[in-house]
Amino acid sequence: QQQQHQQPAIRCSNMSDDNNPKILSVKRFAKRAEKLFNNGINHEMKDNRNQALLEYKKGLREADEAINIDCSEGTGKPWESIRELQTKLEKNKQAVVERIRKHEVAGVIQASK
Amino acid sequence: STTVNSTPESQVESLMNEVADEHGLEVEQDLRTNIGDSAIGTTSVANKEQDVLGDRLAALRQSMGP
Repeated sequence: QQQQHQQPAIRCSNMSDDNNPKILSVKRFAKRAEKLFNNGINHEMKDNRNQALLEYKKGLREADEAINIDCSEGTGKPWESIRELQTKLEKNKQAVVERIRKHEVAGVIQASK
Repeated sequence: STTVNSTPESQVESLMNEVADEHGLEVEQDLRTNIGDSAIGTTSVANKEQDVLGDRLAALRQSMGP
């Protein structure tokens, strides 16, 4: 019985920071956001404005999930790297917010004509 | 009764080196280092993907405007 209780503790202590649930979650959400933002760009380039907006907005939700995970306390390479990823994602998110805003303003202007 | 075998990491590495020697291969790093590097690499790939995305968004802003 005692042996069974000890085993998970050993696995936990050996768990690399790279496999930390926070790091894995940030990577997962960031990947989804990146894919959706790229889909949005592809649609925008084909003049599919509405579809682009849909993809951008879905991507924003995934980006927020990744950015809102607090990784500020971790130390070492994996944590530095994941914080760098969050910073880059935040910057790209702002650029996408700007795209959405411009398209929505353009859409309102077009509709009012 | 059940016997659980647990092979120490040093023995695994030693065996790998032995096999590598037999086949004329070079084992440059130990197992732990390789596993660590590849996991960090995944985040570094994600970082590069964000760079590419940033470039695409910047190009879009320049070429297509509002």
